[in-house]
Amino acid sequence: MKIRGQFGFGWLVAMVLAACDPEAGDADATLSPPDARISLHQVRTGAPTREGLAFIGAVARIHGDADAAADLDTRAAALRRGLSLPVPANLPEAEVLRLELATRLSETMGQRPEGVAVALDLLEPMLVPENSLPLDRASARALVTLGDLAMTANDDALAAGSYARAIRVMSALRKELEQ
Amino acid sequence: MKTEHPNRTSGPDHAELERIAAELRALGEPELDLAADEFASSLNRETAVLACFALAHPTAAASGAVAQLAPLAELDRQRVWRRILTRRAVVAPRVSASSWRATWVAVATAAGLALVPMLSPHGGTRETTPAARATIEALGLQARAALDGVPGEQDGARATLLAAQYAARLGHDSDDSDDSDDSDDSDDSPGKPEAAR
Repeated sequence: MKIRGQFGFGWLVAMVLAACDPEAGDADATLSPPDARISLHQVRTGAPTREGLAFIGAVARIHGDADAAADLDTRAAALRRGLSLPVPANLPEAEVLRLELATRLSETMGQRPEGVAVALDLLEPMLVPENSLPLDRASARALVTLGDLAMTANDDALAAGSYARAIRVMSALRKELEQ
Repeated sequence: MKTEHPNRTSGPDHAELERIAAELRALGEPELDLAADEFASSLNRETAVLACFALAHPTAAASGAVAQLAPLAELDRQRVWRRILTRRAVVAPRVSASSWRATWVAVATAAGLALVPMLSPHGGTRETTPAARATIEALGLQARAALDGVPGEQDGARATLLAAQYAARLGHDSDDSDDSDDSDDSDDSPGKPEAAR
């Protein structure tokens, strides 16, 4: 596929640039370079249960409460309630729903300077490159939000890696659409 | 070898072109391209060539070395223009509407990954240079714009849609989910990637 070839070219360009930069090896050993690794899995479905339906309905209501919230604190409180909902067994769909709740909560908290660090603490562990993410728009959105928060926190390495990973998720989604 | 045209925007001086062509032949270089000369003559060549040189060699431009190159000899100008036009001729046919999006994705990814050598520590944080930071910000804007173009619901709308689909699979109406114990998981899959719906 053409996209795959151009991605290969992109990687090649990046590697060449990295290899040609005389200062590339001088970085502090404690500095983490941008990590653009991404591992994706298809969103699975389980056998439907009443508990599963109740959970999804509760998440929908939580989002409704957040929409109706008059201020950031109320909205954040509603979204926290959503994240604290116990996930029923055999409900793989909950992964995407919880990722959206966490992303929205991070976006909400990130609107205040003092909330950026907390938002990063919430979102970053869910999106570490070692974890596989669902092949879904929610993953791309979460990574873009993580990149925005990292930029605000002056963590440029995390920002660059998150944006690059978000673009790779969207590329995989487009590929899925083309198939 | 260095000559000056009295009027740079007029047509090419054929005697001068012949002299340059002879010089090129003596050096074993390819013949002059008249189209290249006409193209060059339509512009202020000195300024345009220097600008192109500065774009191609930012380090030299930043150090002021470009200014020392002016004025360029006519032969040097012809060589620069020929290289520019040759590259234009090679690159232009590859750009098409169908491949634009894929090209953008590849370039954006390359930009993101190319930031690796640009990052350097400042005061214990993981900040980088202002130029690299501006590049990351641009990458973020591109990622956000691309995300806006990915189809699919999110948050409440997504959860509501998923609840309805899930209820249908369960054999319930989404508004009356406690009245039946029927189960049917052969329906539309709510687990399908959102953008693929």
